[in-house]
Amino acid sequence: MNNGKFDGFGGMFVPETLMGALHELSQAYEYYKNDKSFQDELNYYLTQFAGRPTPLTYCERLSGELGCRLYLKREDLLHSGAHKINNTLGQALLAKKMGKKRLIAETGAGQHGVASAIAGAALGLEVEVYMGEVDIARQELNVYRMELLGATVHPVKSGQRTLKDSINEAMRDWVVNLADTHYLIGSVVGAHPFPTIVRDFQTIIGHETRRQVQEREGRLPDRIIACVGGGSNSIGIFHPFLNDPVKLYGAEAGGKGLDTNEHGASLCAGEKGILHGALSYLLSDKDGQILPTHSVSAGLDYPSVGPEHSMLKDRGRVTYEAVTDDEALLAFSLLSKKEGIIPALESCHAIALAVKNKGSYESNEIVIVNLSGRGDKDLHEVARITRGEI
Amino acid sequence: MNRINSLFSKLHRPALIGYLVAGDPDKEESLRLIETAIESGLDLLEIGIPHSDPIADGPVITEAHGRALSSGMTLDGLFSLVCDLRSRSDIPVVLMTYFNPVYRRGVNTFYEEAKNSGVDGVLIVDLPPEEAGDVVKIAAENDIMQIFLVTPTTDEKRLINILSVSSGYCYIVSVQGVTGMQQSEPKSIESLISRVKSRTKLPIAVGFGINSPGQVRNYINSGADAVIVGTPIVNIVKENIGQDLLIHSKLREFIQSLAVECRRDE
Ligand SMILES: Cc1ncc(COP(=O)(O)O)c(C=O)c1O
Repeated sequence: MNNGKFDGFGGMFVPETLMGALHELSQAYEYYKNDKSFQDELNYYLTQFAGRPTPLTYCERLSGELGCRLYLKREDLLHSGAHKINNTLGQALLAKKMGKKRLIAETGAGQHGVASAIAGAALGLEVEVYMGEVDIARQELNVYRMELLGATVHPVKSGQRTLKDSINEAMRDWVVNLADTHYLIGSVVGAHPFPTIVRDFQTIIGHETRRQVQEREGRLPDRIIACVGGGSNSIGIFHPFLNDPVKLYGAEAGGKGLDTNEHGASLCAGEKGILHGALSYLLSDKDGQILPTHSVSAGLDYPSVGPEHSMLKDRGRVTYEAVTDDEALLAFSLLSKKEGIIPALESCHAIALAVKNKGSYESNEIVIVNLSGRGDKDLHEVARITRGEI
Repeated sequence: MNRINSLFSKLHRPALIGYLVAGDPDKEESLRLIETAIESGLDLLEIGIPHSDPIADGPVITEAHGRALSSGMTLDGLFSLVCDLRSRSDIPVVLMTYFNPVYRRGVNTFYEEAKNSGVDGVLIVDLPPEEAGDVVKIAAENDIMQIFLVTPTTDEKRLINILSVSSGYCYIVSVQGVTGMQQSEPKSIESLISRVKSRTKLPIAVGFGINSPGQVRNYINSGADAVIVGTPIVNIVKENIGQDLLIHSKLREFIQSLAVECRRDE
């Protein structure tokens, strides 16, 4: 590993009480990532349990409308309904090898909480999930799902009561229970080695995509688009293409617009700062207080972003753009009606960016959108917003 | 000489260090509470800079950070509070903060402002020595002591590394956890204290989870040169907000009871 730094971003900005645990995790990961039996076992769970590989679906009708060849990488079809399970199976297996008995996790949309609960149940590890009260209200079904899967959900009442605050509580739990507990972080955020570990477990998305598009089209895609919350599904699909002539786009939560302060676009509108152990682009005020964020999608409602994305932004390798709540909601109904696929609100940001780029595509351009999750969890919220009911 | 160093070189007994959050419950009352705490027998004052996301703190101190921010506490307000205090007291002052406020202010600017307002030391909770190179240098240029944490899980290699950048005193965290949690086995702390003592001439201060005169005594007997009390002080503030006289008399009574233990062998 690169000492946890991505051109100066990242690092280990944590209290001394956590340093020992992070080093222990680094060492275990360095060992198991090259251990064939670990990789075989993980591969077994990914294929026989989670449903990999996921299809690369050609979108006949939308392609015609946008003037390109549009494909979706179908992470929505994975068990649990989102890409998060690639990471939870990997980390849960690692935790088990390390002799841990208990997993703790934070969750925003509830997808990572559900994926953690599933991995814990499958591997026989106890799971406790921290979730903000605001998110509990808007993702009620996922709370029930986690409980059904045997996990305990702890409501978080501090701060803005969303994803950031859940990470705070999970870190406070971890520091007390290091001996028997692994903190299963849900995205490429936090202190080293988390951004690297989570990325490595998610790059399977990009490796499969690369193979599939070569088989189907005989060449690499022209553009890849993914949504960016913490940044795990996006780095997962981007990473295997970083050294290729493929244009990469990240869609951030534009919320009610970048001019309103109600958004979660840390790369588009933030400045460098430190949160949850990493130096990265961050939404904080001039006194260093973390700013409130907003997104219609709980999974993108986070004031910072994985440090590797900050590096890719500064290098100019990836173009990050903000997509508003309204644009995402339009994409939600567009994909449902035109392709028969109901996408997660997070993923809608990526679809919306593909739609926004209409007019810039050359004919026969291959565009791949990472469909990070399915929209079942969001039906309630979307109905509430668009019909003002339920 | 820096006030922290002169305190420890002159004091021939254990020191009592108290922690309060700047601006809790508001700026004016916070300054009055700090003065009461000093009059009651503190030897050194740690002032917490309120932060929106204090991940190393338990519920009591986290809420205090929230109260301070809601009352409008800012970095400018903090430095002016320290200036006001400095005009009335010579007590050594250490700022305890998270890194983002320092980083966003600009490390150079932060330390210059700290120096100018009369700060003697800084402890950045989420800045381990690996990330602290520039900060340590800038602190030294401003004659500000940079204090680091040592915990029960700190191994030998890290301990040496931490001590090599530390100045002022070495802060031993007595519990594996967040502020306000119950203390761990006195035996294990005793061995940690002697392990650290064998490697440094810096004074050893023990903190986190200390809430009674008995515990102060235990740590002194275990070899601590200073004890740090935070959560119980902040809790007195929390429980008595709005009760002008009571809040000060309770604070005085509690701190005096701890100060007695530090002066017992004088
Ligand atoms: C379906 C889906 N997509 C995307 C995200 C955002 O996370 P990341 O940026 O780490 O992929 C989430 C987070 O909850 C999610 O549930």
